[in-house]
Amino acid sequence: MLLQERHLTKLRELVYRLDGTEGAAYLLLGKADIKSDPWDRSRRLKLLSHEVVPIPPEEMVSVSSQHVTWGTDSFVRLLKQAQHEDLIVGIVHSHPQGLQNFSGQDDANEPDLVQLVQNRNGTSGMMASLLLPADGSPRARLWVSPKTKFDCRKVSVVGMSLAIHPLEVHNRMPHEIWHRQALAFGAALNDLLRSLKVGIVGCGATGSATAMLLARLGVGQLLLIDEDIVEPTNLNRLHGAKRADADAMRPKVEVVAREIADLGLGVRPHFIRSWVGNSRCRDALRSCDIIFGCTDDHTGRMFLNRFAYFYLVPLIDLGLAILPRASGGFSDLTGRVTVITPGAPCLLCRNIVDIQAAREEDLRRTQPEDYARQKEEAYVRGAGNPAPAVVTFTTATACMAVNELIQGLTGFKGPDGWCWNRAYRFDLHEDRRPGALPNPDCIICKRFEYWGRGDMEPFLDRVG
Amino acid sequence: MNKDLNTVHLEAEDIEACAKEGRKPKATGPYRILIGNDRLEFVPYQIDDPIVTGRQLLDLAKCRPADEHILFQLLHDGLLEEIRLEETTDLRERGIEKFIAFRSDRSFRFLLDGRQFEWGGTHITGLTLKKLAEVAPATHGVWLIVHGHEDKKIGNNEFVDLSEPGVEKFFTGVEQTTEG
Ligand SMILES: [Zn+2]
Ligand SMILES: [Zn+2]
Repeated sequence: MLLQERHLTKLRELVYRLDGTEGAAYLLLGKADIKSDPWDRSRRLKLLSHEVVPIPPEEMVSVSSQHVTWGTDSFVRLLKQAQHEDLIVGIVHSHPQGLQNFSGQDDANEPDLVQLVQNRNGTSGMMASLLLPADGSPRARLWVSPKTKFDCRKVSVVGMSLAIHPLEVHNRMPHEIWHRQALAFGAALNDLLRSLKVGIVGCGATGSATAMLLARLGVGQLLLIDEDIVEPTNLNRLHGAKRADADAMRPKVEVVAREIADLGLGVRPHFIRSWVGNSRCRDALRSCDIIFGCTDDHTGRMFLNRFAYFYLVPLIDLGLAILPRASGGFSDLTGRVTVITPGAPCLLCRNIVDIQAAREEDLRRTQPEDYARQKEEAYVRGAGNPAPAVVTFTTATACMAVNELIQGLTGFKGPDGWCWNRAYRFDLHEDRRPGALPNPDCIICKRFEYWGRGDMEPFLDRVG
Repeated sequence: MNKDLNTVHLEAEDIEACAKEGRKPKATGPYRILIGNDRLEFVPYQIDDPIVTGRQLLDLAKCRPADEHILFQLLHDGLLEEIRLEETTDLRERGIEKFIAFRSDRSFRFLLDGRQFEWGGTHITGLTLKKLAEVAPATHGVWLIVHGHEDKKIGNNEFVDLSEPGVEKFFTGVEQTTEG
């Protein structure tokens, strides 16, 4: 289960009352129905907090520090909404006295509610239950029938940072290899990294560097998405690529995956040679805990921008600008790392995506003949001269991005969580934080309809 | 007829009023009762004998032939209890004087918690639905699914008209829940 941080804050207010009694609230959840997880081939359902719904005060029947009893009329209204929008209903409660897990009372009472869910919405109706113990990790479970429930493997909180509460840790990493990393951050971070599923979209200069860094950091599962092959002109900056790869015209994803496997660190790479917006990538992307956007294509960025809000999968987007001056020096030499997640301004509002360029890319992808004609007639700008690229700057930008992940998981730079937008000017040694002027009506980042919405038709509410 | 009505007015015992006032109805008639049709239009009748059969009541309400009708006694809690033709009921015991007669030659179909039911009458109460769903009436609610609006909660004594177009869909569920 993934919770928006603002939802967790709101839920804590609702279920922890000042007088020390228990409280309860409802939650509407979107879902990511993953038919096949790329790493273990299992079917998984991710639940995404979409909307918090307080229980009307008049429905509260009785509360104490041990229990909370409430009427279910507004639950019925919620069931209707859940059915209409294909969402899952959830109930949330607390244990002020500190019991860490669901109680016998919870086990006894929740089946009645599940029965109500299924009586109204049919036997495919499910109900989630989230417990917020006074101290300790949130716990969640999903009822698929009054008799059958599954414990959520982990509860993640997405917002200013990425807090992950796993039920248990599998796949522990070989201790001695990451011992010195544990000396810096503690063994818990190593375990957490091992459990992570991280996507890397774009396996060029920044992407290959990001992938190799994440593998050596100990991330257990890496997803690589790119459609290009290795070319001789990539060899000066593509980590792991060899002359023979260019000669054999090997796909970049294949080369990077091979290098990761050859490290012998037990990191599991999974690669898809495709454009990120292709429906083939959906299951893999939805399986990820976080995604690095290392692509230079604007449509891909726009896709990931939406995806981050719909599926509560934070996007760490990387970019590099090198603008040499004819007179010498640089008018810009900046590595940029931007975190895109509910609460942060989106890439469109930051003007990082060029919508015109995205349109042209779309045209080139979907109607190559039209694109060629329009290019000839100078209606589209076309792929211009190649941009400058230097391996030290692309790699340094990848380092900045991976450090931002560590910040999100540990808060080592301070308790305020992620820096939404960091730009390092290499030639001036200046660390900048360029702000944004978000569009107050931005459907993606300023309104809440898409946050945690999960699966819907059409995918990401995008036509075409 | 007018004379009868006057007599009723002066002497007939209103059984429901007795129940409300907590006193026992008179041991002898006449008694005032109401018999309703499938649109729940109730007509007052008076009856002398406190112990009556279903057939007598159907006759009284001119529901003929009696064997093509079904008679229900409406109990306090909203439940309809069928009174068969030769079955007797004692007006003094129930504390309520309302009956409903349905023609039995047609039936109405509805869905309750996903199960299909046939019902002999045009109307059904919330409590009857709960009984049919085999849920505890005190702890469970019943709702009618309404498209485009909120689902309508049906009170125990509230009637739903099943004769409206479409198959009604009902569902039940706990009215309160407790987490510990
Ligand atoms: Zn925006
Ligand atoms: Zn509990």
